[in-house]
Amino acid sequence: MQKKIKVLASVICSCALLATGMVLPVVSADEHYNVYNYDRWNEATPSQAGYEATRAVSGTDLGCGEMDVIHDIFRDSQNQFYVVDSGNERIVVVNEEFTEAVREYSEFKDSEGNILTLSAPEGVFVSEDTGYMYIADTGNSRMLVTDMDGNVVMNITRPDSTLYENETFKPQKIVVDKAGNIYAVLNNITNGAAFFNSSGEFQGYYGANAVEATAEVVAGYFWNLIATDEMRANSSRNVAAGITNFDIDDEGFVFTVTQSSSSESDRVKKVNPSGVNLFTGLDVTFGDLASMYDETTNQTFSTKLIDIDIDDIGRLNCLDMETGRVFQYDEDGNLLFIMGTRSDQLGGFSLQPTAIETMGSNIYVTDGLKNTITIFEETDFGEIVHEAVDLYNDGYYEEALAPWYEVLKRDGNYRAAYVGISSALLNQGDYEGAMKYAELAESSLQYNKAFEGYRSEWLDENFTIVVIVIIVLIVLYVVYRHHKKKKMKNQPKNLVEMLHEGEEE
Amino acid sequence: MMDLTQKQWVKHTVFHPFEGFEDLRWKKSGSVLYASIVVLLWFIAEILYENFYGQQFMMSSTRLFSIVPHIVQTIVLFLTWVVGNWSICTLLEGEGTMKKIYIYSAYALIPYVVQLYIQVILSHFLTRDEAIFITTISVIGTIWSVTLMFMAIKAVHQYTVSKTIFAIVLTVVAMLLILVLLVLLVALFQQVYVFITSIYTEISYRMKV
Repeated sequence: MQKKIKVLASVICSCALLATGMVLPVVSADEHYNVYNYDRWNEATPSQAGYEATRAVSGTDLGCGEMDVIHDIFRDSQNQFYVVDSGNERIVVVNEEFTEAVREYSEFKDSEGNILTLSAPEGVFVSEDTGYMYIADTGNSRMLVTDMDGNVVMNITRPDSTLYENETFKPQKIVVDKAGNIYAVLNNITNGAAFFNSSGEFQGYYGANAVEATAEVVAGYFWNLIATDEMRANSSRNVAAGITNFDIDDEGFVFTVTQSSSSESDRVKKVNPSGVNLFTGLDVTFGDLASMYDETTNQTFSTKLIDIDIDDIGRLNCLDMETGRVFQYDEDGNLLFIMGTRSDQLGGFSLQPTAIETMGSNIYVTDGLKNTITIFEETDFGEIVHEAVDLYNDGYYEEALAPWYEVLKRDGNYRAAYVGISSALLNQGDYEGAMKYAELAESSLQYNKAFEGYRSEWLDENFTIVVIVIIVLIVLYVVYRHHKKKKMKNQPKNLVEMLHEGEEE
Repeated sequence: MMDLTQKQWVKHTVFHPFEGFEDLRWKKSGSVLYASIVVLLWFIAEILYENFYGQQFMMSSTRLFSIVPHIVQTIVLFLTWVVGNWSICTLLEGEGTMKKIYIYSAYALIPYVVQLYIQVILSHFLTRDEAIFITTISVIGTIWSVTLMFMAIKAVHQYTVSKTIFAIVLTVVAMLLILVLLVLLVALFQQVYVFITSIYTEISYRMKV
């Protein structure tokens, strides 16, 4: 019986899917892949595209010769882009419009006049506050701090500290905070990012991941209690995954991403200066919610975030290496858009997308195999959603009402719009409307707020009637009891009624 | 003494947790009809609870309503309890018959079922800030029912307290066993069904040729 119902359910579901699938090309006519978003049941539903890929730029387009393995991209405060061309051992500076290479850094001079060259660099950062460029010179096991003319100010090599236990020193990514403190992601280090002060001295680690207490880990712990030394030596250690990449926002919060597919909770972290993850209370799974099986390639895809970028408004843009998708979240971790895919066309990436950067509403994604930089631009729909979300997050609920209605006109599945409209109507005192939209959004919390207002308004209007009804009911009850008692007294009693009379009072 | 109607007996047992079931047993009373009504009301309450709860507390996530899980969660569960308890307690020198266990257990459920209805009604008038009222009612109703159930089993089999606890624990184990066997049985019969239908199709094809 249950099986039959299940079959019926799956048939209906697949019919619905077919129907939506047929609509899909109309919804996103510009993109060659399926644009989707997650609905309230955490299922992927077709959605409007918030971004479209407009250009893919190669080294030849920029006039600096083909690039070879682009590892990182960074935008400085003057809106110049620094592209790490790892295979050619140089850093290419590109102008704001992304049309030509303005400058190239491949040789640096230190204070004694020696020429230093790069070897397979993997990361770059330019600090507005110190005015220096920080390069992760991975192949040479050092970090170079140079001024903008290519003169080396600091050369940070393997720290000679008891805190630093590793043999190797392979810096991969660098960020620098306002005070000039340097954070570096090191290869093969699971303690977190290495933390150097502004004069290049190693201070310790920052923002380490935790080992998630999965059933396997807990079972391993108990086995360890009874295991012999030999067994212990042969068992694998439980070590948290090292962080993969990070970014710093204007307020000095460091956002880390971790590629490991085993630990979902540490995938994206917002770390405050004392090393505490502020996203722990957030009920959000970053990246794709479920791993997806692709029949044509016989592969299972699960999210492996490789880079994150916080744009000027505070949105989180996460790049997934496995599927080539970019996930954009607002500052509270609400999913806004998903773009990109793994393909050869424009807007798709190879097996190795490497870094993500933003400028205004544009998103730049580098590809380490195609050696191009793909530029995504906001669509009309994306612009409206961003306007609405920004207003909403700043507390301008009523001002956000018009854009939210516009969002719904274009994509009726966009759940945040229903919540937004409900909040706006609630602010305006239209409680019934707010309840209706809260119901459509299936947001119980929002419905509760609207209902509270609706109830107090209703009570204000109908207070006299409610009181009258209650009084009448009480009077009727008393009269009824009195009448019943009288009737009983007139009748001869049997034993049972006598027994129960006392209780009924 | 105690010449109550069936309706009054229901009331008596619910409001006299400590001697109600003993009285019921002593007078050899209790009605299968009322017991069945209680179980049916529980089944309806469960459906209302899942689908018509106040939306300020929880949004019903049912997209495709199916009645089967509700039947399993209430009626089948209750019957399993009765059968499980009977099969354990006949071995443990219990005096209860299947019919008596059915009636007594159903009467014991009444506070829980009433509590479900009150919850559903209140959930349409209260907000989340006042959820404590609902929680209180739900806790009172559940504890009341558990006490009644305990006393019901104790009375129907004429057990001591410790033996009742023992019997209830064993009953839960028996229920699990019964459910596992049921699932197994259903799966097996499905196989048989598939086997017979495939033979039938095979033969019908041959007949045509």
